[in-house]
Amino acid sequence: MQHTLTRALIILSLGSGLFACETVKPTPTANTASVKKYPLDICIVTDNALGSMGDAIYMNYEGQEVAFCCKPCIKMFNDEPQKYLVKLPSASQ
Amino acid sequence: MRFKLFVVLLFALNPLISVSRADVREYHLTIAESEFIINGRARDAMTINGTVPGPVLRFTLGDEAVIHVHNTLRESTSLHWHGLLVPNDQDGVPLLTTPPIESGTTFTYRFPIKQTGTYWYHSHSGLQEQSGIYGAIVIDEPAEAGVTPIRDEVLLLSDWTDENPKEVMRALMTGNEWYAIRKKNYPSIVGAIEAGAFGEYLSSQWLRMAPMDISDIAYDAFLINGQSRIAIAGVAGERVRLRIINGSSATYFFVQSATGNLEIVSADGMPVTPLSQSRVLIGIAETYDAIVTIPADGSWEFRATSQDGSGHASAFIGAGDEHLAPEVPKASLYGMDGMLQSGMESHGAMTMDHETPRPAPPYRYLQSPHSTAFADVAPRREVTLRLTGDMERYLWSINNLTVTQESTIPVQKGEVLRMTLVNDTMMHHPMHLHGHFFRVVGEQGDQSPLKHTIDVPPMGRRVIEFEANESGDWFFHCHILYHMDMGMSRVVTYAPSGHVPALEPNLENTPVLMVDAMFLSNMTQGEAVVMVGREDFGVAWSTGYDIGSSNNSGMNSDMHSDMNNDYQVDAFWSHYISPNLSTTAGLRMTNQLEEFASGFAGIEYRLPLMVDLSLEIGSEGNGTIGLGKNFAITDRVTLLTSFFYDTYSLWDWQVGLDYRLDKAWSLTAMYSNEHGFGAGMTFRY
Repeated sequence: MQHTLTRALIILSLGSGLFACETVKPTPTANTASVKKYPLDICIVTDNALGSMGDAIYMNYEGQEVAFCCKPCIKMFNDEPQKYLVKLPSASQ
Repeated sequence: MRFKLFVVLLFALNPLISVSRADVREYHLTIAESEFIINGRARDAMTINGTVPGPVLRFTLGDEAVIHVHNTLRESTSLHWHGLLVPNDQDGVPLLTTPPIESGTTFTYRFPIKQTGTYWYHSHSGLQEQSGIYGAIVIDEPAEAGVTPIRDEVLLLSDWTDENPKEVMRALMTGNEWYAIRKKNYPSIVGAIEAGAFGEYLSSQWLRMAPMDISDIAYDAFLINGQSRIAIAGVAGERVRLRIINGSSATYFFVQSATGNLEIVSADGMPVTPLSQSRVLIGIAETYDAIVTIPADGSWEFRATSQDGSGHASAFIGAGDEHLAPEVPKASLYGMDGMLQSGMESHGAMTMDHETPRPAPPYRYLQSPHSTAFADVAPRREVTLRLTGDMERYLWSINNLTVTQESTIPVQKGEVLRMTLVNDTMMHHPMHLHGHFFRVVGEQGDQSPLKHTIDVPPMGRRVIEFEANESGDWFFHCHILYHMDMGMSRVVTYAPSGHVPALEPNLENTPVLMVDAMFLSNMTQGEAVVMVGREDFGVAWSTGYDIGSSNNSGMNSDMHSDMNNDYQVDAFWSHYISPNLSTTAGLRMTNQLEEFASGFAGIEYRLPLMVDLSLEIGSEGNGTIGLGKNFAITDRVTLLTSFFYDTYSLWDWQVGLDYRLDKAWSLTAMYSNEHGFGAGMTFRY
């Protein structure tokens, strides 16, 4: 019984790790409940498919979740956020 | 309208183009398998008229080209006139536009010469281009009385491997890391620490990023006109027009001259407003004409350095004391910024200096001297094409579909088709459109340059547009030979919907054999796999050498008191979904379970830090969970670790060290809790 429990715990912990690690998703910095979910499946900077360059990277920008294909895009976004935020569907409404 | 006007003017200003005045320029090209001396050593090659590259084909605007191609190979061949506007049936893509030239036969290409500039020709059959079937084309304006044109020199750049290109392809498809190791481009822990980039290394491991590699293949030589070092005549003060052609199969080059800046006057055969650049990145299949002025007596190096820094070729202009061109700094294996500079620039980032040490292609500075804008009334259409692929499995595609799965991009005659090319991969892709010039839409507006081939950098994008003014089928493909042959191509077709273009079979579903076998003093384990596309069919084994002493079949952990007794042979089928996930199922024969043979099914999943997780369920009711991780200590030394928990046999684990000797062999030492310590060799095929 103890063996069974141990095995179950191992498999459960590794299994949960498996799914938790699907994307790198830092916790939004503040007010999680009001963060708007990122609606696209492409990088907000390059338009490349999320996941095409390793795991996607998510960031909370002033209540809007944004996603990047890779780290260098974060710098480009931070330099000119408005240039890229217009790609979000809400920006055109 | 303005572009049409430009073309009309071009022809109007060249009265020699009229049919009555056309001169027939005739060539005979014999393609053969023969030895060719490269850098002092005879190599097995495919030659044209006995040489690599083939002869320079020179024409004058308005000529009629008549080219007899004699095929003495044991296989069919073809020649494509890269960048030339030729009738569809003369374009030289076997089956698609032109019949293959069968072994022992002759085919005569015949087409009018309608443009000037620097171009090239190459085989479009299989991987023959890599073996040497390519050459330069130079087309001049008709001579003007009293005008002496500037002297020109063709510099045809290429890459050379002593391996059979089919073996190169097999190595790429089976994921052999040797090419990166040989080029010292294989990321490792020690390498990252030495580069002061351990944090970046860990980060990329955590994010499950594939190792960065600028180029797929480790080449034996880089060549200019068939040699790694050539000499060109030249005297102080002379201006020379260098006709630079990248005729390589898989190599971008940085080109630079010790004489000073390159004055670029033409790109892909089309004139551009003169542009001064100290160093230029030339993509595969592109051409540039650059004028250099020889500053003083001496021998001045023009150097073409492979983008991955693994070598270079040189042309020394003039005679006397040597003046070398500057070294190109190698790209960092660990920092992403260097790798992605070109991609970022293609998104408009102004981070790149005009004269950065590793510049992006100079497209943003290229300006046509004339307007190239299309008529406002022409109907417009836009398509987005995502360049997709998987370096690990060596699958290359467009919009995640190979040319076999989706063959065509339909166009309507008279429309302007704008293509947005988004590169979702971590490699450059030089995309080439046959039979058309396209505008590179960018900062030059109406004077956007015209090209036939364009680099789309990693994670970058390019926007191109062309007027559909032809008919028939035209190939559009990545000009990395190995990517094209794996399916990264399409056919731009003017035919009605439903048309199925004829294509040569490519290699995307060609079965390849992969073997990874460890033979140690105490045990052997490994696998032999036939890989077909995303499917693997194979046999895996693991056993000590004194199997006969086993007397505890079907028992559990007690068996571990008898080392060397266990064996396991799996016959399996595995389906590759992504670099992070694959499924597997098969039949297992072992003395570790109650039954000799049982079935199993499971998944393999890559966790962050590149840890491989396997989960399996057996038909005997047993379950297995495994974790494996290879730590690249240096480029050649790998720490091997794996841990398995099976509900029958409980824990198994292995720890070992592997030292890579060459492409096939490595020295391996390993401790296994099941079989003890052993040392021996690992073989890879």
